[in-house]
Amino acid sequence: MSRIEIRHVSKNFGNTVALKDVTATISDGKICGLLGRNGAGKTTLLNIITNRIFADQGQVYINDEPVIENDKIQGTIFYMTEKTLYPKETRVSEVFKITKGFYPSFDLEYAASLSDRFKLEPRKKISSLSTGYLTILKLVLPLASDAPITIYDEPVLGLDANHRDLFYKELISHYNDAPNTVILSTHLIEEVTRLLEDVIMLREGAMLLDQPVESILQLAYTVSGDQESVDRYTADKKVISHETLGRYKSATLYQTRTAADDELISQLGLELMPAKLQDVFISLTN
Amino acid sequence: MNRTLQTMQYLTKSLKRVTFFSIFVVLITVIIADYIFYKTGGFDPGRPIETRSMAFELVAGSFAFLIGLKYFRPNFNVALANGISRKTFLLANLPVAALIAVVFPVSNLLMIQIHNVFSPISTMSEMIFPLITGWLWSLLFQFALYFMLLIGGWFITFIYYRSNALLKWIISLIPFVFFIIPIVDSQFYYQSIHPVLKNSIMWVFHQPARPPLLMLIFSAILAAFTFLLIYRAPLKD
Repeated sequence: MSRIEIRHVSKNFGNTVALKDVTATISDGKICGLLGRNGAGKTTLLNIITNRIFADQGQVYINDEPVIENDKIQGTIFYMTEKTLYPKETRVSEVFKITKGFYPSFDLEYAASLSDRFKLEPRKKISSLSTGYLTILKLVLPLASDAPITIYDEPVLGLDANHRDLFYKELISHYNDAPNTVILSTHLIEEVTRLLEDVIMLREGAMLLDQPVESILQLAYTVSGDQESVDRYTADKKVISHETLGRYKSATLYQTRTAADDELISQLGLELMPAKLQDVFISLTN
Repeated sequence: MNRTLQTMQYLTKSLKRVTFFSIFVVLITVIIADYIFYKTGGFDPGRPIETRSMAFELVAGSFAFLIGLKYFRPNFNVALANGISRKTFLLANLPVAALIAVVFPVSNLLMIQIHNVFSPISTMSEMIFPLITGWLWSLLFQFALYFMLLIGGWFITFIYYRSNALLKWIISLIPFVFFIIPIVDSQFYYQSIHPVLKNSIMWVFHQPARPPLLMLIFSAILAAFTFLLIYRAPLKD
């Protein structure tokens, strides 16, 4: 069991407020997306969870144990960061061996097989890897670590479409075999929507949403059609975005849709479509 | 496996190469010293055979200090990357530092033993402080010296790590104060500081057990301060 509880966490860097009283829960065995615009506090939150920096207030618990300086708990987390924390002269194969030393469940064969598929050369030094291959190295580590909690911060930075696809497939396949807790922090929302079960959304360091993707998407929907009809339908509703093209208009709403709403949509001859998570994200974080 | 043992294993592997390199440099120093001695007619059969001192402590001590300075922070990053707490990291470093502090004098003593078959040599400390007699005292003295220098390296690394730019400048300038005082106020230096320093050194080396004991006590103090510095140290770029 690997349930993460973030309780009233705040963090300032000088005068900059990075996190403001953030409270959220990440359920065991779920793939959770940590979403937010640049500077929203995503990496700060992940760094606090993984004991790399300390919160000014509040605490993070994993299975009811505080994470601060907790070797046992930290040994259950593998955090893939944007930063490279290994000395630059270390070879890829050495990084695997070092990780195996700290995470005995690290599968060296699987890491070698992933390296082969991603065309990552084990003899290369970190300093000689391109941005994309550095990301691949950092992806192989959590995938092969078999840690109960894996955290990916910008996991597809610098990866081409083929490698991104390969990573998503590998993540899903690995998750199906061993459904551990996964946190994905990324800006490529559209690409990861199909993977996510829960979403935590941050805006300017504050918690915006902590909900299952399904319930977010149930609340969000798009109606389109004649401008007048759309305006009539959305008159007293929570519209999060809209687009107009001549007499054609589409509006995305974020609120519970009732049977009466469905009837009105039908009467007005409007088209009803599910909203995209990215649209909800853009609207809520703007 | 225990997280401390895992970290110790990593640190031992990580510092193995630089430790052997340091021993290699000590060996090269001995060879160069012998070559100069030979070139200046030192091995002339007509000259009386004398025990020469060689700068074992200077070379090995410099490397011990550099290992502490250069490797502590990168290893700290690797430890944090692998979910190791700061306390465990520091605890795992202590026995590894002790191991290096043992390897250096043992290799020095081996070199001396082999060299003595051809020409007698000794360490600098044995020559300067005749009270340090016998291989056990030499081993203990060198162990305490290298251990203290290693931990001194950690301490300085983390003082810098935790300091802002201004504090870094102040810390960097502190050693120069000791050079400047005798120049700026020689009367004050020779009347107040110099006698205290001289008497302290005399007192320390009056008993053979004092230098290693004091160095070990100082190491423990430095380790405690390093712990205070590392305890809430955030990961930096």
